Amino acid sequence: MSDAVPAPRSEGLRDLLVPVLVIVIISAGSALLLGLVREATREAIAAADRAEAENALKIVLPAGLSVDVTKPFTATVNGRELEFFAGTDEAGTLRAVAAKTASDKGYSGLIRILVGFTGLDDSGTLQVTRTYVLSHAETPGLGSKITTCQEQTDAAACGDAFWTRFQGRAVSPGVLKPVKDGGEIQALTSATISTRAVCDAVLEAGEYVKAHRQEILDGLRGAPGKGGTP
Amino acid sequence: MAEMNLVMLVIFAIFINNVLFSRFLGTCPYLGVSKQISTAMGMGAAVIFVITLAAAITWPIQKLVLDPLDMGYLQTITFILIIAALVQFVEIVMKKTVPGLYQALGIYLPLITTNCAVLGVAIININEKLSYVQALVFSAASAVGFTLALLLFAGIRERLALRRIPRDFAGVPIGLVVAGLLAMAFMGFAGLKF
Amino acid sequence: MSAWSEFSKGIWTQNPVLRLLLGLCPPLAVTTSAKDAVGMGLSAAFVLVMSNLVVSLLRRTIPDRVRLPAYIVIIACFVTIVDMVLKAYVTDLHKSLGLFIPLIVVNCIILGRAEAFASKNPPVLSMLDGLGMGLGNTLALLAVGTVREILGNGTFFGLPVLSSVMEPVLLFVLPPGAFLTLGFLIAGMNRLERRHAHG
Repeated sequence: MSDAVPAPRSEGLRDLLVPVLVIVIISAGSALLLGLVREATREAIAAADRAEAENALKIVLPAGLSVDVTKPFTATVNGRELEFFAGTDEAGTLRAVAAKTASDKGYSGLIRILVGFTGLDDSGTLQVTRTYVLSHAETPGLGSKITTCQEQTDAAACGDAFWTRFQGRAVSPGVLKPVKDGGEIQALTSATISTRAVCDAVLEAGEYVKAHRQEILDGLRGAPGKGGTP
Repeated sequence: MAEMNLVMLVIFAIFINNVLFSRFLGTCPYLGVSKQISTAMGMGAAVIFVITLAAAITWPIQKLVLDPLDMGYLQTITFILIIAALVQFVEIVMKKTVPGLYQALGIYLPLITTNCAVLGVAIININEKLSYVQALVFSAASAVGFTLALLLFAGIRERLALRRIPRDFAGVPIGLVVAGLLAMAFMGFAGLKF
Repeated sequence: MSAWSEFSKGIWTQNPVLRLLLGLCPPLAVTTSAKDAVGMGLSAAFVLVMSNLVVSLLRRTIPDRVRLPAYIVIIACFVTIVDMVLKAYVTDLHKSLGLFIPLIVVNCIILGRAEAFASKNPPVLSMLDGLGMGLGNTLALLAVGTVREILGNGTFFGLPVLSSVMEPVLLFVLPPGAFLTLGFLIAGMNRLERRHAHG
């Protein structure tokens, strides 16, 4: 380490300057190198981000539809901001809508989910395509089972996985609640609270779509080139 | 986490998602320092101070400098340099004001720089999109949780010293086993809500 | 010491995790699956080798009083490179490792080797030291990850291995399991060393 005898005054300044200079040069060099690497990876990172967001939407919406992650329609529902995404077919017709929502009524923290809806022509025919849990902190082994098999799109391969219990369900309080609460959704064993939270979020999103169907459709349709409704 | 109120955030940081027992941050100092309750207390206090100050500085740097200039990729370098400087500063202050404690902590004080909890919490503040106030509260509370873990462990270790342990487990291994049991106990806090 | 022994010491006799007891956070945090464990090990190894190299090349240029900040900047630089490369090309690993990628910068192994070895030895030997330590670290991570994944999830690298034999013990993929597994592993290592020293 440094000497016990302090350096004489005239050396003092150089003693301070050189180390600082070295640090500055090393830092500058690093920043430069990082800037270069960043440019090199920029495209790939953006593509990866986009693919990840699209992947979840593609799972939730019916197969064959194209999705646009960049222009959601946002709306505030019961104090929470929901994002709606469009699923359009080749002819450009809006066939399905995915809602990104969340519930804080889980056992532990926020449960973020994506839920798809079809049957948009009429409020009466609105139904759930399926659900996809984006993030959660539920109890491992119990509530965490809300994500079992959810990467799969084929219900047959998933037995009685949680997501399949929402497939094709009508949007109504008599359906989208746990059986205990008067609905038709089978709750997960020992995870009624987690089940209830997901049902809650799905129902809330579904009822909003039902009530504001036209507004959402217009907002999503008008989006390209017009920036959508904030 | 951003949706929690401050009370819930504190409970969350100390018990439900304890920085050590749930997130594994700060394991090295935890195993090294906690041989006595008094040093554990001193280390804990130093960490609370450094972590809160680090959050106080890194949060605005991220929001006012890195984000607007689109230099998010420099986060790691910037944050760790800030923390290193902060620890140096704390060392100098401690040497003058509490020399006894400074001596007692010895090598462990500069090692706060490499305490993953300090850098980890600073990054979590940003990732979880906490507000400035939330970030400060969360950071301080996390450090309190760390101190709590240190104290629990020191208390147990003081008693362990009087017992016979299998030779191979002496030191770090038994420390890890104790940590595992404490982590199990802390899991009981899951689902706590205010 | 010969070049070979500089390299090989990091794998067993001076394994950074199991013998030197350095860098204990990642073996606890990212070992819920063997794949994540190996991913982390290789990422850390890259940083270790590169930072050892640069520190060694600059060892006569860096003034003594700023050597720690200098090492930190160098290490942080390579950590950020790993972060960006993983985010771009191995996205699911980046997601699993999450917070612990930037935390590689405070991994005591890397700073420790820069200070203890690279600052005092020529570049090639420093790289070998880094390589050996990096490999040892990866093996330790793999060991913990294997135990935790097989016992806690019934899989190994994603492939089911337990199925009908027994139900996975959930505890192992949870925090307590991490602490217990690592503790027993280090104890086991101590035992082997004792036996080896006596026999």
